[in-house]
Amino acid sequence: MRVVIDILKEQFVNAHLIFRLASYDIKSKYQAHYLGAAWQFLNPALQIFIYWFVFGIGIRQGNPIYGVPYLVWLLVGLIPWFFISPAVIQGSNSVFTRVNMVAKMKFPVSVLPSVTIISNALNFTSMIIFLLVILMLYGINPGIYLLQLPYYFLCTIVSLYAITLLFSTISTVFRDFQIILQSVMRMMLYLLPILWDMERLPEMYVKILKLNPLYYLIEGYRKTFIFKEWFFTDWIYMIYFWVTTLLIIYIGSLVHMRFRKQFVDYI
Amino acid sequence: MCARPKVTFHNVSKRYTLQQKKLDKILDLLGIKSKSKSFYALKDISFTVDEGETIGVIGINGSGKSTLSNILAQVVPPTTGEIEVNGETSLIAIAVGLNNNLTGLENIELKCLMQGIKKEEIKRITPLIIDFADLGDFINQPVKTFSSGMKSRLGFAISAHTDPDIMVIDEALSVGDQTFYEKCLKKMNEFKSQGKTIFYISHSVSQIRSFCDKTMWIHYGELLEFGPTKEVLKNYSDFIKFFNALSEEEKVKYKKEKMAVRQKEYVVKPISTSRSKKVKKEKTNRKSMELILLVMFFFISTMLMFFDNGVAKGIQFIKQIDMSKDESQVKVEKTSKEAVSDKVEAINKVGYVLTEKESVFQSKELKDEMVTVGFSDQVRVNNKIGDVLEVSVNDQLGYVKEENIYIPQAPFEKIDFNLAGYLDALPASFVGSYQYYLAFINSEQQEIESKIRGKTGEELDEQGNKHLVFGSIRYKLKSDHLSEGIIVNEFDPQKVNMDELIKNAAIISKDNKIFSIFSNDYEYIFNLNNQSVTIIAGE
Repeated sequence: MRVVIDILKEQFVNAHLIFRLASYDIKSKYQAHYLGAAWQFLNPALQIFIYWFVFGIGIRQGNPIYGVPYLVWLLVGLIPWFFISPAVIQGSNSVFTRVNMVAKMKFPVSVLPSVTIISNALNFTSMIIFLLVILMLYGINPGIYLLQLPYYFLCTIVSLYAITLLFSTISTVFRDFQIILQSVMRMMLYLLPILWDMERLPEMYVKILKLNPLYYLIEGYRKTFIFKEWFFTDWIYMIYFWVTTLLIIYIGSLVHMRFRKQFVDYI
Repeated sequence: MCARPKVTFHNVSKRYTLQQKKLDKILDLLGIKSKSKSFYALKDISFTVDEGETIGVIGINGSGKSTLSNILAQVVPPTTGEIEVNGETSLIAIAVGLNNNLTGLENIELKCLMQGIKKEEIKRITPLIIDFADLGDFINQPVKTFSSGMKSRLGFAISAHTDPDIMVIDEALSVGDQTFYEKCLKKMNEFKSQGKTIFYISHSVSQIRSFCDKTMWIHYGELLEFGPTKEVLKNYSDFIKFFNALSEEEKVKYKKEKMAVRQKEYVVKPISTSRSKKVKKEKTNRKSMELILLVMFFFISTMLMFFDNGVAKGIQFIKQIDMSKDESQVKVEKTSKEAVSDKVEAINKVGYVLTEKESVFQSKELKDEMVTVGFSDQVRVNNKIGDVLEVSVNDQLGYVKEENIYIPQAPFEKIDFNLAGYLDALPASFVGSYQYYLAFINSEQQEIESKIRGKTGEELDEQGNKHLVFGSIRYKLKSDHLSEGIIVNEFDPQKVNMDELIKNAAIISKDNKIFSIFSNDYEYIFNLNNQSVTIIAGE
C-alpha cells in the first residue's frame, strides 16, 4: 500500500503543477482552430443530436423512459461519457506523448495522467451546468439527491486516475495497447447504459455488464439526476467498485514504479 | 574554497539493445532474458568531479558524448553502476522541448514547471529569461513563428536561469550567431566565477581549450583520458591526425574493431550487499502479499455482486435479530413475526398493476394514500419488504400490496396482434375510421380537437387525467397535454372469441375480467367490467 500512498501524495503535492499544465493543455489544444474553445461544446452537441435522433426518435419513437424524456435520460449518461472516454484514451497516452518534455528524471511522471484528467474535467463541469439548465427546462428537480454529485465526481476522478495510471505505463512500453484501447473504448459506449436501457436484459447479463466499474459511474449520475436514489442503497455494488478501483490503482502503482525511470528509453 | 566532489560516477554503463525481433522485445518486457544483441553506448565509466570545475568532454561522433550528458543531467538512467550528484543539474541542448502552439512566455512557464521549479521561483526568473533571450515582441507569439536561432536562444535562456548547480551544455552554442555566443560565454563565465560545475560537451577543440580546466576524452564508449585540458587535447589532436592519415580501408577496419568491442557482453561486478538484497526480498514479499489480499477482496466482492439478493437478505435478517433483541423486553411475542414480515429484498424491476384501481400508499403500513394507479400501469419496483412492495410512481416513492403487482422475469414478448380481426365487437363510429383515430395517439390536445370533429365533452378520471370525449370514443390525456391512448366504449364481448383473446394476453387481472395484450405497435387493454378497449402506444 505504501506505493499507492506515495503516488497519491505526489498528486497532492504537485496540485499547482497539475492545474497549470492542464490549463496549457487546453490552450494549446484549441489554439490552432478558428472557433477555438467553442469546439469543446460544438463537438459534443453534434454527437448528442445524432444519438438523440437515432436512438430517441428513430428507435424509441420519442417515447419517454421511466417517465423521463429520452433526451434528458441520454444526456445524464452521455455527458459523463464525454468526460470518461477522452480522459481514458488521452490519459493512457499521456506518458508517451509528454515524457520527452520532461527534462528531469525526478519529475513526478505520475502526474501526467492527472493533467489530462483535470484538463478534461474542466470541460465536464461546464457540461454539468448545461445539464442542470436542461433539467430545469424539463421541470425535473433532482432535489436533495444532487448532494451526492460530489461523491460520484470523486468516484469518477479516482477510478479514471487508477485506470490511466496503469494504462499509461502499459501503453508506453507496449505501443499496440493504445490502438486496442481505442477500439475497446468505442465498443464500451454500447456496453454501458448510456444509449439504451440495460435493465431490460436478462438479469444475468446485467450483472456481468455491471462488473465494469464505468457502469457504476454512469448509473451513479442517473441516480443523482433522475432516479432519486442514494449512493449507499446499493452498497454491495459500491464495495465492488471501490475494491476494483483499489486493485487497479495498486497494480498501476507497482507497474508505474517499476518502469518510471525507464520511460525515456521506450520512446 | 574547500573542494568537495560534486559528481561521482562508479562503473557507469549504458546499454542499448539493438533492433530485435518483436517476440524478443515482448520476452524482454516480461523479464525473460533473450539472446538479443546489445550495444554499449558507455562502458564502465568512473570519475569524480569537484565543485567549481569546468570539464570539457570531447570525442568523435558516436562516441557516447550525448549519452553521457543525458546521464549527467539525469534525463536517462544508467543501465548499471551508480551516480552521485550533489545539486541540481540542468541540460542545455539544441533539441529543446518547446510547445509550438504556445507563446514564448507560456513556454517559459511550462518548461520551468516541467523542470519542477516552484511557482514563486518561476515568477522571479521569468523577467530575467525574457531579458536574456531578447526576443522583443516575439515573446508573445506562438513558438512556431520563431526562427531556429530564436528557439535556441529561448531554450538557453530558460535553462541558464533555472539556477542549476551543475550545467551540462551539449553543443548548444553552435547554433547561435556570434553575438549570442558571446552573451552565452559571458553567462557561463559568470557561472564559473560563482563556483558552479560546468560540463561542456563539444568537438570544437578551440572552444574547449579556451574555456575548460579539465577535459575527458570519450572514445567509443570508454573514458580514454581524463586530466588537464592541455594534455588531453594534445593526445586527442594526435589521434585525429593519426586517424585521418589512415587509408579508407584501414579507417573502416578500425571502426569495425572498436564496434565489436562495444557489442561484447560485459559482466558487472555486483555491488549490492547481501543486506540490501534481503531488504529487497522482504519488500517484494510484502507487495505480493498485499496483491494477493487485494485480489481476494476483489473476488469476494465479485461473488457478492452475483449473490447480492442472498446477502442483502442475510444482513437484513441479522439486523432484524439485533433489533428484536433490543425490543424483546418490551414486546416479546411480536418479534419473531415482525422479523419475518419485514425482510427487504432488492428487486429493481418494472412491475404491472393487476387490479382496475390500486392505491399506492405513503407508508409501509399501507396508510395515507398517495396516488391511485390503474390496470397494467407500469411502476418501478425497488424493494420487496415483507408482502409490501416499495415502488416509484411519477418519481415518488410509495408502497403497494405485493399481490396486486405482477413483476415479469423478462420483458414481454411483443406479439403479432391486429385489431382488424376484432372490429365486429366495436362500435361502428370507431370501426369506420379506426386507423385515423389511432393516428392521434401521442398528439397534442389542440391538434386532436382541430382534426377530429364531434367532441361531446371533457371529463376528469379518478387519477385526475383529462379525457376528451367523442361519443363512445375518448382520448386520455397525460399531464403534459399529450394523448396517451384511446378508450373505446361499447365493446361487445359476445361477438368475438374471448378464449383466443385471453390466450394472447400478457397480463390478466385477478378477477379475470381485464387483460392486456402487447402487440408490436400498441398495448390493448380489454376491460369486461365496463366493456371498453383501451389502446395505448407501445414503447
